[in-house]
Amino acid sequence: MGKIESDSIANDFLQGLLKGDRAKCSALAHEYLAQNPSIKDLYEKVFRVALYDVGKLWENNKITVATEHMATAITEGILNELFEQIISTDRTNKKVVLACVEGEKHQVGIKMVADMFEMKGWESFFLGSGIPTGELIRFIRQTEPHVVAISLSIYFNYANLVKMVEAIRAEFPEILLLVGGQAFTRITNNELEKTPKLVMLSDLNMLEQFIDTLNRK
Amino acid sequence: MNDLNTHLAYWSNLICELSSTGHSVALGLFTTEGKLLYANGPMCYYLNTTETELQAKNFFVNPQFDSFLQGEGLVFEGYTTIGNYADSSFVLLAKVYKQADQVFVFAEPNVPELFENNLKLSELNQQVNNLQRQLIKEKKTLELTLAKLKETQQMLIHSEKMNALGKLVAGVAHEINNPIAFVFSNLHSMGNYFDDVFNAYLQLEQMIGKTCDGKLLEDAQSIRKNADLDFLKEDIDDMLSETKNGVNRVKTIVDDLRRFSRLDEAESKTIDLIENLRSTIAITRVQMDPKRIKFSFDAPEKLVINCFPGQLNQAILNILINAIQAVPDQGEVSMKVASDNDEVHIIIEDNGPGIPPEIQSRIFDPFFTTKPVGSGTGLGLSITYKIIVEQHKGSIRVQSDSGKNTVFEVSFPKNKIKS
Repeated sequence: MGKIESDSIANDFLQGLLKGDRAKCSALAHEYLAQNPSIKDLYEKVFRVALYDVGKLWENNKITVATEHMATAITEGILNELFEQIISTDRTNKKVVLACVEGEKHQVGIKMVADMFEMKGWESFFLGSGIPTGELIRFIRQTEPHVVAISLSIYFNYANLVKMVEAIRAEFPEILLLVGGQAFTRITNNELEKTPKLVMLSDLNMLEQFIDTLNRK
Repeated sequence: MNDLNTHLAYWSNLICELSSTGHSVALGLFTTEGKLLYANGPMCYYLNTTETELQAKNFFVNPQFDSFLQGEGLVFEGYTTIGNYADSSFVLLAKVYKQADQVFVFAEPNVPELFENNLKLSELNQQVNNLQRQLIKEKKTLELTLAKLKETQQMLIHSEKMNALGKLVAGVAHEINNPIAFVFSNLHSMGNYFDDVFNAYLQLEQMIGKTCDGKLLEDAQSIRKNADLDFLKEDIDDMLSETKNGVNRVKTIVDDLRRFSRLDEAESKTIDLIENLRSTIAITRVQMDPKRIKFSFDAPEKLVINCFPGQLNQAILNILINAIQAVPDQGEVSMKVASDNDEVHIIIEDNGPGIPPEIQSRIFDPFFTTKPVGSGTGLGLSITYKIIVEQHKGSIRVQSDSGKNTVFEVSFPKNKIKS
């Protein structure tokens, strides 16, 4: 499917989200998959594009928080619709713990990341938004994952992310950390880049390559 | 001078204008009969009318408008519901004033409550979404576990059947073994005894020739001729030899059956793989011979390995039987055995029609079969896979050219199996 068709579906999807038309959004997602059966492309070229636009509309005072929440809820509902078909039966015995940074409420992006890991046969433990760092550390200790992935959507939570990464790194020096999210499109001087064993990923294509590399090990 | 009264009229007018044109405060003026005299935008929205039309299609549901007519001044303060009992209902914080024959309603939504509820709703929605996701995941895990259990159950049933069959075969082989042993031994003795009898007769005849008259010798020779003793000796020798060969063949088959079933070898054991494979091949002769299959076996004289012999026989038998069934009459099936320092390689090739590419990835799936319903369980190759890959830590490579041939290469470590 070409970029123009993807952009057109992403735009229709955005309009559906803003009107609260869940049925239309769901139909568009299934229509996209009928033409291009790549869930990764659907996430990257439709959901991500539309939700970033929703974020921009809120930032530019064009829509209310309620509309933004509705758009997110509709998208999360569709992720759940697709979730059953993405769980790979070919399991790798690898584990990933995923969470939003402390204070962050936006969980749809990291959910897509969790789905990518599931698609590649990983066991994903999705802790959602607003998990305190102490709780996350306790969960990591209990689960012993191969990767911990943290999402940052709102720039103002960057300081929380830095603290969270430092705390995890101090507790688990060897664990592979993965960070990403919409906020990184604005961060120019990212001090996290110096953190050992930390990978920054900006889109799902890079994430797919990253997981494939780990699966080959 | 910057006191409260400065520009009061200006601010007062502005406050009035903004209040009446804003999006949250609803203002409405009614006659005591309930006729709408004035309504701003929000009140029109709640009453389902327009500022020019002023014909309310919604009404005061609770409290009802009549209750506002008691007294003067502030006649009601609290939550009021405006709607139509059907598809619309608005709950607003209201103050209602009555002055002479007019009623004024000031109403607004409880904004802090709305914001708070919106936030709670979003959080609840996230929780529901996450729980739904968790449920889907657990359902999938249960489905996978169930499928695995079913597969294991079928494998167990099959393995139990094979075990029972093996016991039967071993039991029958054991029972046959003893009678065969004494038949063989008796045949040997019978041959010797018959030689003794015939030699005794010849000696008797010679003695008659030397010591008696010609008539007696003539009678003796006549008896030998009439009884066709020379032919009998020759034929009995042949018959005994053929019978011994037959009994030897039965003995070989019985040995093969015993070796194949190897019930006593549930644990890994060091054996001669080639001897084992020859027994497996012998078992399949009954299927190969009617099709006049050209079978070749290329293997070293002896190859000692550590394995689970009974299971390994079963694994190879499954591939071999598929090959035999795949080739046409007078088709070709071959088995080659090679080994390097660590691994054994058994290559089974047939010149059947090959496996179509679209099903090649499924041939090891349990219950997958291309045979007609009822004639194949679809478990053969999946059992082979389990035995070679899981039990013997080996691998199976399949190369099939449609219309040409199929090659199965089974490889596994020679000496790394632990019981």
